Amino acid sequence: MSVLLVALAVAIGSAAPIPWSLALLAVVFLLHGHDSLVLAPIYGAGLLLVGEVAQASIDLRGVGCLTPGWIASRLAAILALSALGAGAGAVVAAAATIGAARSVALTAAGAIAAVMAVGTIALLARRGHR
Amino acid sequence: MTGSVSPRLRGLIGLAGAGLIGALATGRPELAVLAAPFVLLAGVGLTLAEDPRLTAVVAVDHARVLEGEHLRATVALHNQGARAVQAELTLATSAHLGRVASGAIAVHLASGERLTLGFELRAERWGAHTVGPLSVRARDRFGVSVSSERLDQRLAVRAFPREQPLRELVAPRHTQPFLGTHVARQPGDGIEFADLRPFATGDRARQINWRASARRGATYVSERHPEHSSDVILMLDTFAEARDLAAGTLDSAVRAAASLARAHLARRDRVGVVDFGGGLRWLEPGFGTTQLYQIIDALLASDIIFSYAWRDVQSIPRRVLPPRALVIAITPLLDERAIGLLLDLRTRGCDLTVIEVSPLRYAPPAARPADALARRLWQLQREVLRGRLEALGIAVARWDEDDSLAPALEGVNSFRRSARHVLPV
Repeated sequence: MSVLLVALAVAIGSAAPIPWSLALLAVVFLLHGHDSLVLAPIYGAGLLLVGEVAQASIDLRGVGCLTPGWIASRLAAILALSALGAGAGAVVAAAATIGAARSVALTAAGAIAAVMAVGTIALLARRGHR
Repeated sequence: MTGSVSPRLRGLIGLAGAGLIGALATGRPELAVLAAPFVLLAGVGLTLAEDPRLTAVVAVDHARVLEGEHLRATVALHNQGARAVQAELTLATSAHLGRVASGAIAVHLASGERLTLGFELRAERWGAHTVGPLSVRARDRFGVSVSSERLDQRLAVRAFPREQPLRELVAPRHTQPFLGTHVARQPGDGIEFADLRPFATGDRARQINWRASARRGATYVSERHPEHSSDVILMLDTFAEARDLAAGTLDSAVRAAASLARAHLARRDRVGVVDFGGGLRWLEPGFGTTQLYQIIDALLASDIIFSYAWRDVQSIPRRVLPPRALVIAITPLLDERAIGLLLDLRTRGCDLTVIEVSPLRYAPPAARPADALARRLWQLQREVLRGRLEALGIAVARWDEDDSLAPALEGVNSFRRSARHVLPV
């Protein structure tokens, strides 16, 4: 299903189905098994890689001629981001294994951190839009 | 450039947010781990994003080409921004100036880098074309911000019609008293022998034909035909045309007109053009290379303009149709108004020749017997029309662009030699 969604995105030239496809792959991963926290950083980086490659092929729709520099720079950016993403995931996974007891305060702090992360990105996007 | 965040960023933020919230809600940190690369991509991409500062200048290597020829449009790009950008360039061109390779060109430009790109173009049809505008779409390295700009620089490219070499032209009935290459009917100073006559007072000694004088026992002089030029008016019928997606009778008519104009001007004739159709445009007769380019420029602007207006010969200014001019009408013989004009010109004593640009090739193939019958009837109607014109002494040359124009003109001259007796007085 996920592969079909990516194929659909590339075929119609719209990036809209890609997040859904990645979400499906994430759900498949979560349903997979108990070693998921160890593999999650690599899997997350892989998801990013899949999404970026799909996006690159959508960006290339309607392009008749491509300079070699375009491919090299895009590939370098995708690989670098995936590697960094794996690192970031590993940091999060390491933080998750500290073993602190679950509490309302910790959950609230996590929620605030999540909202702040998403909010910061949204603010940055808003600034970029302006 | 007009900048905005990439539409995919919304999906990325949604995915990252869902992962983080889901991790908190379900108590499964794997979701946060999976979301981390996406948060990183969005954060890094947006932090490093800046409005690209790209400048582009478009140029073409030839502003004048022959139809069918290739030309190259170059785009000089300069990235003046502090960061590398990925740009997609789309160069728009007018309808009959096609790109050899379709699609945009995607390039990567480092900060401060200059790059010159080439777009191969082909003039598919004669006409006044434009190259531009250039659309530039730039993305940052991570693809999270997109900027676009339309550079409204338009360059004019004139595609001249393909011409046919013509050795023989329609011989005019009348000539003008200017030096040219047509043998005039009236005697005068020239090379072509016309007749012998007895010597008369005032004749020059060099005119005496000594051989004839010795044979006849009296002094005879040779009369000669002078070489004069003529006035030629090319009349382009733009009332209607038959065409398919690729070509039409007007395309062929303009090529024929350009070929005739060049050939007649090379023979020192004065040539003028009348574009007779929904609109009326003309160029008064003139000599020389300048006139040739003016004629071609006038022809490039030819177009079929739909109109119900009925025009006749009175609409054409008198100075555009000089007396004793040879009028060559180039027409597909499809519109009643054009046919009426031809008949009108002829009944006024105009020296008229018709080059019929055959519309038959543009008629759809007959799928049913009834279609075949209709096509046959149409062809017969055209035969009748041709016969009607020829009965008035108008030479009609049928010409299909796949064939050379020269045999059609030979046929015209042959007809005109034998049809002199039907000329109206």
